[in-house]
Amino acid sequence: MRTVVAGWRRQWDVVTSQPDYWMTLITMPLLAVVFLAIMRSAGRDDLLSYAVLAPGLIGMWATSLFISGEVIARDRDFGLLELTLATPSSYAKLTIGRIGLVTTLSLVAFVQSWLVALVLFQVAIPIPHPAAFGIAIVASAFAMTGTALMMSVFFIRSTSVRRYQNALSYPFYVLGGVLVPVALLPLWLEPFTRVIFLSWSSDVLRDSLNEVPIEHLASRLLIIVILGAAAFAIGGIAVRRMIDRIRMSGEVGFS
Amino acid sequence: MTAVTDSLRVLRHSTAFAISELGAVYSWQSWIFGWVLRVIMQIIFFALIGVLLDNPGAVQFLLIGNVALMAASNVMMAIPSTQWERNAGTLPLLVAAPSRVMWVFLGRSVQWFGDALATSVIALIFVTRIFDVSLPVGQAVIVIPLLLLIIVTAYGLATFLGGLVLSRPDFRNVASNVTIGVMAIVVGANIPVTFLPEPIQWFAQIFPITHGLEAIRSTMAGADGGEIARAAALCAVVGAAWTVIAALTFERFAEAGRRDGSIEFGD
Repeated sequence: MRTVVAGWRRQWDVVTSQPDYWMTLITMPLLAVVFLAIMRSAGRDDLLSYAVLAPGLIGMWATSLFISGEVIARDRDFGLLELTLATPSSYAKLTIGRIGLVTTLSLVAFVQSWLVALVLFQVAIPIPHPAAFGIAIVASAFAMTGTALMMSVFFIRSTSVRRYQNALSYPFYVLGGVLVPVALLPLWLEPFTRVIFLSWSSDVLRDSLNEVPIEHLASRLLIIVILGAAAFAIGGIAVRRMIDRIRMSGEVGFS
Repeated sequence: MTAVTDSLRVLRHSTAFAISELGAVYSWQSWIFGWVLRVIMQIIFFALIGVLLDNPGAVQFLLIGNVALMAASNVMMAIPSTQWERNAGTLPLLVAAPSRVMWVFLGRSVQWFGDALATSVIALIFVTRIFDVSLPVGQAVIVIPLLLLIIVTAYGLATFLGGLVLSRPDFRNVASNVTIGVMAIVVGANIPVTFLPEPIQWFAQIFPITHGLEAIRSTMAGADGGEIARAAALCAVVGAAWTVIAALTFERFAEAGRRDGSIEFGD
């Protein structure tokens, strides 16, 4: 646990040192204004809750993947990977701690978005199912951390892979139904949407803002956790394999 | 006359550099499957909001608005790419050279023109087909040059902002993203400008895309040529004004750097 906490502290120092790390928290309120104004200008105040949730989900996804995705790659670029590997602590645990901090910070986007609605649009979006909302947020943050861990290993493989990072944003916002429910997408896309935890998270979170009782809540939350656990397992194994491989092949170098 | 020829030569070299730099940023695979795919999906994302609203008019409004917005947003890459000159350590050499730095900087980020035009035209054709939005050839031949106008005029604003953050390198990406975010709200891409509070409607006029997009929407609504030409001319004038301000900003930056020695060799 000490290693995970050390990862948190290390990442806190990193994110507070560069404005780029705060990018999502700067741009998400602007996106909240866009979504809320689209709904308001179309006379659809009934969709304002959708508009409030979307920047939160986008903020969580973008921050986690773009910052956490770079954690290992940057360690390697700066020659820190080698020094860390020489210590007795688990590199995977340290990385999970660092990614966990980023995911936790990214949840601020939900609060920002709610405040934008309150201050600029004079709407306090109610949460009729607070417990379901809270559990769904925690489950989503867990799945997000696992997904980011998986991606962080993917990004280290080559710098050219990092050029595809852009493709991880809007395709996933569409398939993850962050603003428009996946039920409105063509039917043939459904299998793709259901393997992305974001599609389950966005549906449950939207339902928790609706007065109507939530159907199959437990099983839907379980699916988010299972998808997150699968990502953690894949990410954890990949980190271990990567470290074993570079230790055995002697590829570790200060370059 | 020699001064003009020299300036044009500097502009030509900086443009050639810009184009070769694009090849270093993208391979054709990463451009298509990384960038173009992302742009198309972003426009689909916004057009889908029209589906959510159950309003075909909103689908077209958001689709066209976001094609134009992506064209202008793409050029905002000129803000960080202006900064790359500082990171490369070449800025002090440029300031020391006898030619004016504004010619270098006005040419060194033009690579985004081709990128922005190609991605926005591909997205326009592709996404209008997906959502069954009518775009007859007669309208497309007007809309595409208007997209180019939006791109060129957005470049003036982007290079100005690039010059502004030259002395604050850490803020290059923040400046670019905040500008895109503000444009998404005020220029009429997602929300009609008339829906915004009056002071913000006035503020929207300083963005060339506000007028360029109005010209595109007028074209698609079948408005007369005079109305389209007026909006396009206003777009060109606002863009030209930003280009002049950008040029002055670079000169001022260079002058201040020469005076107080604040331009160092890289970060």
